[in-house]
Amino acid sequence: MKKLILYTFLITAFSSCYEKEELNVPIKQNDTEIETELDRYIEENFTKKYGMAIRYRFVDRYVNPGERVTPPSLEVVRPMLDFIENFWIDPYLEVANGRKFFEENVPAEIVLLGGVIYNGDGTVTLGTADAGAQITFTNVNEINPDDVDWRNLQLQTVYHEFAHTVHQRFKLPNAFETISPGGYTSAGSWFVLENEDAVKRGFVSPYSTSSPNEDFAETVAFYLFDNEFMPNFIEQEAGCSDQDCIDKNAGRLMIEDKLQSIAQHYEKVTGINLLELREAVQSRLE
Amino acid sequence: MKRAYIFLLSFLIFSCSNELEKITPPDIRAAEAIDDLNEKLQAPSQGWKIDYQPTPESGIFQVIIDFKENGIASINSDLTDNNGAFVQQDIPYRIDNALAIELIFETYAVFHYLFELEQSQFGAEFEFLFEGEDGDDLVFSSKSDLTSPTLIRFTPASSSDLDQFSLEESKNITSYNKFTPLVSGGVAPIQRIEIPGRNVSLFWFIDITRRTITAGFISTGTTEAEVLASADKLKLNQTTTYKYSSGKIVLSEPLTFTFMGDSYSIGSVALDDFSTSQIEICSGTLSDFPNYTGSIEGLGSVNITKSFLEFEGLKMIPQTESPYSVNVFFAFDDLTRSLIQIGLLADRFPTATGIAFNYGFDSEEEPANAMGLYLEAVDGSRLTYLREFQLISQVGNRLEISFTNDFYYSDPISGTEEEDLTAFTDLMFEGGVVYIFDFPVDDVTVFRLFNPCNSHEFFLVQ
Repeated sequence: MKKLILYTFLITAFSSCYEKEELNVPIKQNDTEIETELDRYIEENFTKKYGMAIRYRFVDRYVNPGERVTPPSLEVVRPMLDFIENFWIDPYLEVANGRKFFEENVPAEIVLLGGVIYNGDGTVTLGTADAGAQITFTNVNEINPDDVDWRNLQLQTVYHEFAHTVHQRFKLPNAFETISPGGYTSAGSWFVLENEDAVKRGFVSPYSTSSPNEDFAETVAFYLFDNEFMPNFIEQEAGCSDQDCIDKNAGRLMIEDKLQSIAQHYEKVTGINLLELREAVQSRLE
Repeated sequence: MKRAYIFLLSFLIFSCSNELEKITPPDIRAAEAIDDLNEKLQAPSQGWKIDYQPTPESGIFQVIIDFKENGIASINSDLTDNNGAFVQQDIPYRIDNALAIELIFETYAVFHYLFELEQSQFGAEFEFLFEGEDGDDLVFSSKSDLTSPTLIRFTPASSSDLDQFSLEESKNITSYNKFTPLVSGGVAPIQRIEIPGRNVSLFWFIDITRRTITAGFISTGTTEAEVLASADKLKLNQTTTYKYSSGKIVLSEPLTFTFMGDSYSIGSVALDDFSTSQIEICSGTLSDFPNYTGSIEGLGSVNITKSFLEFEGLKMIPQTESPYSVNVFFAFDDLTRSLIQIGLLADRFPTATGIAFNYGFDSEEEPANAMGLYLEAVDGSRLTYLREFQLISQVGNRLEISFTNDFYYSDPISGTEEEDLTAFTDLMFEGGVVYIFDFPVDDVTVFRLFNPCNSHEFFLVQ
């Protein structure tokens, strides 16, 4: 007992020698001072307007350990912000109830990265998001809104990630996961599927088979950005004679069910008409 | 014992003095360290000079950085890639503290470009840990290079350091990259160093991205025709890194060897006059080919031309026993995309399984010289479609052929196969000439056939 008291006292004696230290002192300051015209533009048009921070200066917490990526070049930041405004923010502001939904659900951080993310296992990550709080745009250095592949990558990322906020706040539509229950893949195996296999299973992409949440987000994203969505995923192929074609048509019926379910859900919980939002997006892509 | 405790307690209580109380809290210490490093970085009037060598296997990139008070790093480098985008850049930098005091270049510049090379496996970095001072120098180590962190030394720059950059020479040497195979790591451009004073030509691969030089072989003769006719050749296999400095290519390790009784030690090559000459690569189209005149200490004047002559490529010869062949994946377009995945073969021969190349093949059925495809029939059997060619010449590793309109089919055709096969063979041999390079693979002899006319390439297994 004596020993215990002594040790307690010793610890108290030593530790009381230091001034009181705050444990919540930030170890780094990521919020840089407003220094440049670009920073002022971001402050006025994104941070003050929507409460959204734009991160274009590299901080390694933006990616996971082992992931290798570069920041964007200074020259592409402003054009990328214009792209984000034109193709993501403005369509929401344009449709009924869109502004309210956007402002209430806007992610706290938008991270811009110069290239794609190279992972330790040799794979490449094209876009990421963190529980609705952060959306990451990759390959920003290659900005070219006229390049359909580049544009689709960015739009798929942002529409997909932003769609997650709907099921995170309002849950999935009723019985959504029962529309194509046998089509979901086991953990980590979605990437072995081809696009056509996904359609046969009732999904718009292989990745959407990974979970009902991803299925929901992918379907919304494809519906918004893909101008070939209807012929690719909804309309029945006429004159089907082989099994391949029959299976794809069956898959398209499931995707149609999902789209209806999602559209009703959006209307009900956000007040946004998804078709109206798609038209607002598509009008910018023409 | 009790007395001992009392003594110890008294000692502790009274030793709890102002000395300990004055220890600065960590956040303030970190802020001081950041300010201190910032002051050091901003101190030199001409900025800092860095001989940046991302890995021991790569060459040296010269960089001068002037750190400004407003958080901007003004960076000059001798990397002339991307149309000179990295020659001068102003970007934000940050000094941070995490596990140590760090210097981070916050937006894309020369360091990031090097970091991204080879799918970010090149070994460069743009986040550095401050290791300390060494005399007037500041020493940093790579933060992201975990296996073998690079040490980077910042030395106060002088007003003349920028003059050593040799931007013009760096840019001119980059022009040798044109007409070079790219698939699977590619083949570094070959330069023929003509040394008239010794009546020899030295062939080396110059990897302009990595800044390395690998000596290939030396031969008597100062023209390619003389080299090909000469029996006096010595294969060399020395690799060294290099940098550009004061108008020279400076090798980190001299290339040393003896040939025909003469000793050679090449430590640098002075680059004097650059010019281009017009060469007909494709029929009817003239292309610029680079040429440098210069000198090597002890060897006199030299002439540096672009060459396609590769020692190992000379080993591809006619095979009477069996055709050359390869999996159909190994035919590529100028963007290194396999033609069976996207392009002509995917569109017209989706069931193709292999590429056939009869070169002197002794067969009663098939043409001796022909190129074509192996395909999988509906019943799983193999089909062979070939288009005959006439050999115009094989000079060294330069193969020139001319296709005929004679075809061979193992089974009758019923559609547009002939037209499609004509399109495929014409594409791979557009201009009629390919250059043969060795593709090193253990236990198998593989050649890469590169068409400089359209930058398509395909592989063949012997």
